[in-house]
Amino acid sequence: MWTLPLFILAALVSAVLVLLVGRWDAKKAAPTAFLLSLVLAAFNLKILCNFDFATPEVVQYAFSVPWIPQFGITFTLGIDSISLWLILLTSLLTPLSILGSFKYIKTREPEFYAWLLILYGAMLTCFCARDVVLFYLAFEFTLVPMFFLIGIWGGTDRRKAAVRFFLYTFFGSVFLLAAVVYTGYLYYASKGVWSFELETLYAFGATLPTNTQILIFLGLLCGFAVKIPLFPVHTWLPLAHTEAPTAGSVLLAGILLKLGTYGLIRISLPMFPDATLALAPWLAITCIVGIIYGALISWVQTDMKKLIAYSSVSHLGFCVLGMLALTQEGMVGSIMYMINHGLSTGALFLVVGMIYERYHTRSMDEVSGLARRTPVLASFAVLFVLSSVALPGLNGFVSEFLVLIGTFSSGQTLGTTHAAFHGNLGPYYAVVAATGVILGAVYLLYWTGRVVFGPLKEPAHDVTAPHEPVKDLSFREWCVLAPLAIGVIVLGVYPQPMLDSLRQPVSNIQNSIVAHEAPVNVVLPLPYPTH
Amino acid sequence: METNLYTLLPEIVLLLAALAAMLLGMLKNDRLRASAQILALLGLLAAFGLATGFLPGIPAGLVSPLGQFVSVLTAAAGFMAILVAWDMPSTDNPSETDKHYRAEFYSMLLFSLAGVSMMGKVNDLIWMFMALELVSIPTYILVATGRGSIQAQESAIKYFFLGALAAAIFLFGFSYLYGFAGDTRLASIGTTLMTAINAHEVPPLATIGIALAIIGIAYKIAAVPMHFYAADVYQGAATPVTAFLAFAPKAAGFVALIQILGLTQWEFPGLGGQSLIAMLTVLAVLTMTVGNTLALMQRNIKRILAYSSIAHTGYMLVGLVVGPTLIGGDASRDGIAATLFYLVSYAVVNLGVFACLIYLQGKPDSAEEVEDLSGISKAHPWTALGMTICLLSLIGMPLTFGFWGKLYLIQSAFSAGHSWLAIIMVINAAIAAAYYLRIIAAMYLRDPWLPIVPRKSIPVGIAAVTCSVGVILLGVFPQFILQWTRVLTLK
Repeated sequence: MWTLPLFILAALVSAVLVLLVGRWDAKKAAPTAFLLSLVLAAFNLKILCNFDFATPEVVQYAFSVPWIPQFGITFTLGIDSISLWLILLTSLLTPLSILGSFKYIKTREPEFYAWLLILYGAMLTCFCARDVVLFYLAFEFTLVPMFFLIGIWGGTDRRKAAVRFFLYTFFGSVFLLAAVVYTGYLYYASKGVWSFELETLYAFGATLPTNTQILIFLGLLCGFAVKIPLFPVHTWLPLAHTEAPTAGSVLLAGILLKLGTYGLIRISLPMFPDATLALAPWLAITCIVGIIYGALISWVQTDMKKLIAYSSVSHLGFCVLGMLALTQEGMVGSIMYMINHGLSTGALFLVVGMIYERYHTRSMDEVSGLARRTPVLASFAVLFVLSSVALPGLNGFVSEFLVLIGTFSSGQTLGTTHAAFHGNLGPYYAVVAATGVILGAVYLLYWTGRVVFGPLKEPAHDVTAPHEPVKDLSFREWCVLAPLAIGVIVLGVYPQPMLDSLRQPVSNIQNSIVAHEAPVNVVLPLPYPTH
Repeated sequence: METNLYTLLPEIVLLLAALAAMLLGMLKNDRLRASAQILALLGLLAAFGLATGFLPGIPAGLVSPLGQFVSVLTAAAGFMAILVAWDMPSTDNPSETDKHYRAEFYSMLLFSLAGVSMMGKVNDLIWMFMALELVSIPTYILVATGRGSIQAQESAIKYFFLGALAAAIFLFGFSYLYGFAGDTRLASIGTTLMTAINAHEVPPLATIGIALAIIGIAYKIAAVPMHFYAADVYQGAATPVTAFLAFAPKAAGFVALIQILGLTQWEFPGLGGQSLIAMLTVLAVLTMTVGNTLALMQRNIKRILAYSSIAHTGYMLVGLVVGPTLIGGDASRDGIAATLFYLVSYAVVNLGVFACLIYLQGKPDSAEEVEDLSGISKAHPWTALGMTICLLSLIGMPLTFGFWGKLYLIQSAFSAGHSWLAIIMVINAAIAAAYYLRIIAAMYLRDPWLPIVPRKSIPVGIAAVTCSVGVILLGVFPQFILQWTRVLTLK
């Protein structure tokens, strides 16, 4: 029962340990942080092994203590399979980003790694929380470590990036707080006690009138939309990603953006089904605009990190689109998209970080032809680009395909011989979104063609100083990229265990939503199994 | 209750300590004059003990919960305020302690604290006026004599004249209330008012009286439209005095407002229609918005803290608009408990911020602008951390004490149906983050350019550490303070 709180506490204690070791010898802070994060990752693997996959929708490792009884806030933790995969992603990306920062961070190392570990603990709490106010607390608290990570160790424009990131996200989150408190008050008004537990509010939210639901959903959306980010509140993202240090970018793109999508699927969708059904088409249009807009803007970028940052806007548009399709394929694909995006975009940021460490520039005008100089790094880059582009055989394809199929079939009835699909999107949405797939291939392969292939061009170096030719991947960098490469390939070839574990929780969420759909004609079952 | 003088024991102790400190100030020996500080601390400890009941003296059951709450809060916050003002710096050179210890400084602090402590126990209009003036008049002297610069003199003049005007306004309001009820005792005014409200025949005399009293007391809490003095006075006064000003008159003002509004039992519809509640709502919204927007334009740290203080007054006014729950004593709809809880959190955080700021003011005119704080996280990491924790609490970041205060206010606003007020408060909290973040950004993200000479003072350090640790501890375990403010529903 105490597993999850101890896990989170261990992350925070690790941060303190790193600070103490740093006092003694600042250079030892980085290896200490890496070892501690490996220990935490091993702990997470043990949680994975003991997870009961026969009942993935049941909340396991549950832990609950009353915290503030006057408000009905409890410290409740628990994971089902959705949370499990996300915390596994967190535990994978954190050691890798720590390892990737060894050469990058040269000042105030102990504090850097301590903030990383505190961020790790906050992200874990957010994914494990089963109490809405606890979720909000962790969601909001991640702003503090990220602010310092970007602001102190970032690029040239780091102050502006950190302040804009904090204020933009904070502004969205306060509406999230208002919506959460309002929901709690409505529960109190009808039942006479305060409670913020997820299960309680799930049952209650569905009983609210549609207009109230829509109001609260929009309030929650303010916070989530800024975080995801959805068009048009995405403008904080490029600056934050470009100026953040590599580890910061990896965790920001890999995990923090998923806090928004996780919030949608954990809180908004199941708790306010009528609002979901009413707003899904409009939100889907916003997502599609984001997909295409993000892709078009990426196409014209010359800064590598900005290109990948805008590509995140585009990809997460797909993720949310799949969620809003409300079909089995769409929602399972959406959750898998979160994991896949974390792996591939995290890896791309690490690759760009390695290029930056070698050439001290992120400009595509100054660096090209890396395949000639650093073939191994180039191979990894191409692998992760293909995963991002959704090449069949790699992980990106599985989630992208599921999302598109889910959106296409959403709300459709095939003649009179097949039961209707849930949701209210449809083929038009999928067709327009699919153009985003083509555009995604365009800008990423364009990047690959210029930076990885093509004639070798390196930035000019100071001829009076001693200069060695740029080296290929070191052993440390191999260790950083290899797990991600393995993950990308394995999930592309054998995604079934993950998909199977996600089916039942998604079904539960679906059932709570579709119970509110307008009734459709249920027709004869087909001779092959349907969803 | 009115005739038993023992209920006033904490205040009597504070007044005696103040008189003793003033007498000490007349001695020739510098060492003896310095002992006035220790006397002040002892007096506050005694008052704390008496108020909480550790020290016997107060007959049980005779002090109202509000009175006990205010006495305990005043004693605790006053203790921190004396620590923060320890070894009061010389008027010419803040980095040196004044060799001719001005013991009367501490006696003024104690007088003012006695006034604040008394506010919870007043049961008569004249006594309320006297207590409010007892809070304010020593602060005029503190502002005028705390610093030798011309700015201090200017701010003292502004403060005194505007304060006298405000006192005249609320005294005028009190006179109308007396004219309406024929008695100065709050209990009987309350009964007369409730009878009139229930009969739907409230004369304009009463409404105007209450409105004028509210406007006059708004000066103490720096609410719009009586907020104009705050920025100049906070900037001109010596920093330990500013720290005191930011919470003591505010606490006194809010308790006074709670008692005045308590006369109506928050049954506003009877009083001139919705006018009174509309006035309070407009006051709250304007105060929050004016405080936050004007703070965005400031560069001087104390001016930023002054406008932020105005904004926090606005948040606390939201709780006054909501009012207490009169049915069943359920805490969650209790706007008064929310205001008092926010007052506690604001007192702790405010003293923390100022303690850190005083630590950094080792030279004259140092640490005045936000730029002066650039990069001090490298040279003074613990001070920067303490200041950051307190500033994050003012923003309302989770895991700090200030977050629970905002949550409580938002919750009580929604519960009472004031949804728009809650939304406006939330938007203001987001706007406020901008200027607090500017200070944090200066400390951590900029390069140091001006070496800061700290004022090495152990009591100031103790106050800073206690407040910062308290912000985090109470941010994780706020239940105890919540329970404490819960018992304060009106009868």
